[in-house]
Amino acid sequence: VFAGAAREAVFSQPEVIRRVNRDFVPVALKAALVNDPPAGEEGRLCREIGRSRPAPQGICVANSAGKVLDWALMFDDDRSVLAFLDHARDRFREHPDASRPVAAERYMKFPSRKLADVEDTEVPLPTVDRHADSRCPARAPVAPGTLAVRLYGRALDADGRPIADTVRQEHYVEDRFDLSPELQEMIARDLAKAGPDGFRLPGALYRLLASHAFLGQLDVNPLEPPGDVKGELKPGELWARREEPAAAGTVRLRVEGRSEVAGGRQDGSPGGRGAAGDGRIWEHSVRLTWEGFIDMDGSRITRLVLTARGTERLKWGNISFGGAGPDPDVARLPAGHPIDFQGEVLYGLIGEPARAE
Amino acid sequence: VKRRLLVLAFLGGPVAGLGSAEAPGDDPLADSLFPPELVMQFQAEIGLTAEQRDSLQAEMEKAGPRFEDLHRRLQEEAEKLGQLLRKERVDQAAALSQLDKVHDLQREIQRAHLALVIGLKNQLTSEQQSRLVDLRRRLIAGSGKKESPAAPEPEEKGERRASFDSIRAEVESLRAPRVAWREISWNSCLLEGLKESREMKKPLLLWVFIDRPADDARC
Repeated sequence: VFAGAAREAVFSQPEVIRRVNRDFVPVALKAALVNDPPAGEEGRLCREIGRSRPAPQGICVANSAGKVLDWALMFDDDRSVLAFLDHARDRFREHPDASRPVAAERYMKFPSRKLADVEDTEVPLPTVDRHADSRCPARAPVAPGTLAVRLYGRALDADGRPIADTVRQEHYVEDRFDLSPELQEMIARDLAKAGPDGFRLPGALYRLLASHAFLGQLDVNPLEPPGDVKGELKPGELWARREEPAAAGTVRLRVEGRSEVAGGRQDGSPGGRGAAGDGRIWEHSVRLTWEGFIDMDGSRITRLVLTARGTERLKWGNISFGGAGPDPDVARLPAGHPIDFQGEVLYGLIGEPARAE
Repeated sequence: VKRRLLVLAFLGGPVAGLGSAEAPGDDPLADSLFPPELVMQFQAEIGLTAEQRDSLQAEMEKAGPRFEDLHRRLQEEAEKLGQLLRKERVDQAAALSQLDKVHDLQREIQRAHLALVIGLKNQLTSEQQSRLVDLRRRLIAGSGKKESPAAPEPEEKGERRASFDSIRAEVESLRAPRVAWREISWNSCLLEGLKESREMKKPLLLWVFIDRPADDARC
């Protein structure tokens, strides 16, 4: 939730955007690198950042030597975000490098809730210009033959037009996922055996598509929510049938079908309906009709375009929210904001071969 | 083809669009030229002969690798230009020189694409061309493109099913052109960030979060 909330509430504010671009070098860092650093000198840099972290996720300012100046997990209000940036920038002016020791300041909520500082170890950190194995650990390796799929999802208004807001992920979502070479080969094998009426696409593809076409942040995934809660992939089907090929040597498949997923419903009460024990209020169901094309060259997909339209119900929150409003709030970044959406939705997917490293 | 058209649209100018299937009303040349996929999509409706089809496919296959190479080079040079411009102090001479390289490649792509679509058009009879103009207008009207590029029309039962191009155009229309948080030029590499911090004498702002680094994905 933190990442999505920070993106919506903090990094979508025009003045924050202006100041970050003007005064800082912005880096979005996988928490895994800080919480479980890689080996070698790059790992030492990551470990130093993680040494003072008040939580696994947060917003942090560091100097050019990699020494942490400030951490913040939340802010009192929108103006406090700007005050934090000013404060961190001023500290950088005093401690731009490792020439003098500097303590890491930590704020649970800036500026009202300050935690104890973490003192500098005064151990010099290395200057590292290259990754140990020439590959940045922030980038996941891509297997040759992988198809990279990008998804765009929009909530529609009463007139069937996309809702204009593109900040909140329950209104506008972008996602991506990979379609493995093995799954592509499975489709190619099914195609080879198919008759003129077409064939049912593999269940693994059905699941993959259905598990990404939803609105909201990562934690509301109706099929793979965090924790012990299980979602339900309802019976559906995707069919493919040969069409006139776009180019010689390729096969174009027209894809049609429908899908339905439903997350386990929880009402937040202890022992109540679908209780997860954490006060979660959650209900998520998506029904979609799919249409599109897959171009294949042998056992590889060369292009994929799909749309899926239908209806979606997403209710999400926590009994601890109390009377929190529906807007993103810098004072509630780890918790996010409540969501109550029901309406028509439209998704679009484009897949192209990924660049293997 | 779509990607080629997008690049041409980016270029602007009198040949932008070159027969785009998406918005002929916005392009004074749209009725004069036909993208290859439009021709192939309506081959039955315009009575394309087997000989014409083979010839068109041969032309497209011949042009494909060259366009791929040109676009790859264009992306590389555009990225280099972006790197130069992102610096706090921009080397003006280097940036302008790099811009020239980008323009050279754009011009080469534009010429190559115009040559391709002219070659394709010259293989069609006048009746086939008239029919394509009519079919394209109907396609645009059916997809609602002229009224609202971002608002797909409701599915029309019983109508001819959507084509590859129309679905792709619909998917691309869903992507918001400007999303606020993407206005920040996030880097996902700590080493690159530290290097830039040293060079620009600016502090690092680290957004540390679980799962993915900042990109255009769900978080």
